[in-house]
Amino acid sequence: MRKNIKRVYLLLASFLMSALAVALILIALDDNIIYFYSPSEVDQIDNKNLIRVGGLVKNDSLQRLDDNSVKFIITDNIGEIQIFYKGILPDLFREGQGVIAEGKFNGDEFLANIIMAKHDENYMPKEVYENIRNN
Amino acid sequence: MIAFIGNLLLWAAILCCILSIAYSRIYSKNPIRSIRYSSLFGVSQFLIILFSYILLTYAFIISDFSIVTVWKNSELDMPLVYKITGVWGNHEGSMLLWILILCLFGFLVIVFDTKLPRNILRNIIFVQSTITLSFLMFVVFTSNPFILQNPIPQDGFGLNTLLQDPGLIIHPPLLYIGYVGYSVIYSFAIAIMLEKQHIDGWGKWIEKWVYISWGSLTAGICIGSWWAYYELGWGGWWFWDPVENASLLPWITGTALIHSLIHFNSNGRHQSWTLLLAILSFSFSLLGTFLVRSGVLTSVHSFASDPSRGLWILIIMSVFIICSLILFFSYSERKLDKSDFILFSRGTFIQINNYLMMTSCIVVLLGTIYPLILDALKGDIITVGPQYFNLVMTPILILVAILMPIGPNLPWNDRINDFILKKLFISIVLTLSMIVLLQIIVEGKSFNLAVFFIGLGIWIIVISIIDLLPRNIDRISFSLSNFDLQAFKKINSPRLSSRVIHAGFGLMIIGIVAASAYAENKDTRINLGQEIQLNKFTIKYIGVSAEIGENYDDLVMNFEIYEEGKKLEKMQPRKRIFRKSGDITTEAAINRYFFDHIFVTVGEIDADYIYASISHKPLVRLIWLGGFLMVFGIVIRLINYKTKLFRD
Repeated sequence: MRKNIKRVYLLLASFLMSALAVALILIALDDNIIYFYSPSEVDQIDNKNLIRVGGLVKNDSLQRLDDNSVKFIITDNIGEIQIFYKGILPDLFREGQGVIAEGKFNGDEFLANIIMAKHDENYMPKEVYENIRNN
Repeated sequence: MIAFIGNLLLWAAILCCILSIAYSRIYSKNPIRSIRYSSLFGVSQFLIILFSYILLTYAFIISDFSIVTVWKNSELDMPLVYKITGVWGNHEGSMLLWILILCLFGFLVIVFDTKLPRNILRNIIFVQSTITLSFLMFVVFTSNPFILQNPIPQDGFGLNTLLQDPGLIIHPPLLYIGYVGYSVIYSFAIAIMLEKQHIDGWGKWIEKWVYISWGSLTAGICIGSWWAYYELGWGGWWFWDPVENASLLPWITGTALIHSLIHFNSNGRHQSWTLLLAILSFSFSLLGTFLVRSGVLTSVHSFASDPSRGLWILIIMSVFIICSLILFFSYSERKLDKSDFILFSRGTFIQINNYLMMTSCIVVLLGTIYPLILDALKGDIITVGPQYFNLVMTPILILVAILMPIGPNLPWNDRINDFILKKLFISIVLTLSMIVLLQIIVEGKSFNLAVFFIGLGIWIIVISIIDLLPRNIDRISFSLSNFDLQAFKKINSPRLSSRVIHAGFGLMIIGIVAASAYAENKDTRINLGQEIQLNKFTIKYIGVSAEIGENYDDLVMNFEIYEEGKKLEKMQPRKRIFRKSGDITTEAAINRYFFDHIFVTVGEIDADYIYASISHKPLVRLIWLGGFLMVFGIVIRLINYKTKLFRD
């Protein structure tokens, strides 16, 4: 009898832990999903959260500002987003190439934490490729 | 010529697979003949694929650009070592390597596991050959490395510049040995389940394969992490990137498998878990293959592949997973378990470990494929950020870290005794004192959760060391004259290796926490001759120089670095410009400072100034030192003759 009761306790504990785990997962997942938008979808964004945007770097749009930060524009041939970034740009960042920026919108400006550029001649992030192709 | 022979060999290998499958099934009434022929074709598979792989490598070495794969991934000026290792730096070549290792494991089982019952060996060959056949057909029809082209180009594209690095030499093969090693364990599991009766002691047969696969996968993942750390330029070692997660999933189930197997071999219990984990580990390997090559997920690591390939891998993967799970759930040959249930026993702790491992698996799996699901259902494109993984894995990790060192000390079937309690008590006291000491030295009055987490690592290491002391140490009066070396020699290998592995894990935790919590970084512009202060380090930029490599030129940024006045080794991060393509990679400079790293990488360069990122990462070396210990521990286990792992 003793053995069975111990087993029941263990089962109960496992079940409670599982329920806790599931709750934890759902909460964590909710807060940490980063949505991706292309420049033409900018109007749909009322997101104050961390998001990603991607497109081609518009030619002649790269400027270096006084406080060592940069700004540039990304486009998907329909819409545009002005991006501000303080940090080191990746090697493969070039005007006319595809990039993805992760950060938040501050009014009309997008403040990026990370810039991800292509990593080979033929590579374009799938999201960016789909959008360019559709436009 | 090469392409012709190559294709011929691939088809010959397909034929061998079909024949070994056929012989393993048709002549089941005549087992000797069945074994002889199916083994013969199993060995032939391996030799033929080996030749084809060597042939492909040869084509790379002589720069035969009539073969499309060589043209796309190699160039005349590339260093020889990358011509050879670049064979696995692309989808087609790496698939061939995958298949080679698949055949290799089949070959090893046929040749070395001579004590296996014939029926089991027959079924192992059957399953292994079926897997090989599926992937061979996949390669021949969708990813053939031996496709010809005409006219023949003068030069090729060269390997992706990020891959022209020593990391390419060791990371993929080790990873593949890990992934593919689980295939033969899977085959064993299926073979066992196909038998109509319970087989005693089958766990001993797969022990070495489980250790080899796990060890190789661990090494592959650690080296991959190290490679990303210095290559990708910003000093991160784990990004919860989908492809990284894909390698973690089989590692987690593989870890659970090791422990279930230990339990099964000692007690005969946990047979179902062992079988299930064997199936799951290979299933996750297949899932990883799918995620990396199908193009469904964006990642630094993924191969650029077209979706039709992805579909085929998905089909292959689903068939093998579903069939094995159906078999598993209908398998009912179990020994009746009449033993008492004891909470504080090693078996129970292994059970708890299984639950924790499975939970972390589900968590990581969900985070990895959730973007896929959402994209398919709603069309939303999302990324699951690293915060999710860190948030959910941390509580699990805390539990694992607390329980992990306790478990191996508990008896299998007895109640906990005084000696163990004494050992645990001493360990707790030691650990708490060290935590308090750490708190005082590092934090003083302020509170930082990092101290607690480092404490977890310390806890694991303390118990591991105490475990390795001779059993009667409290009764030995410690003096040089009667210091008993013999007692140390009596530590048996499984115990030594498990404590080393656990200690390695603890070390890793300390490294991860210290480097994350206490890292300091400055991203800034530095003028020529300017000095930057970072903690107690002074970094001075003194100018540019150049170095010439085989197919690249290095623009070297020279830094002098001082620690409180004392000059340390100079640092030379660089921009590497590959001559033919014009591609540029950033090579970081890393200085070792005890167990810390000073990490310098540069961004934009101008004549009088540069943009640099300078970091100090305390104790970060412990991460890979810990990983090394884990692999070292499993190697100890494998070469130990006492347990006769290799004497069948």
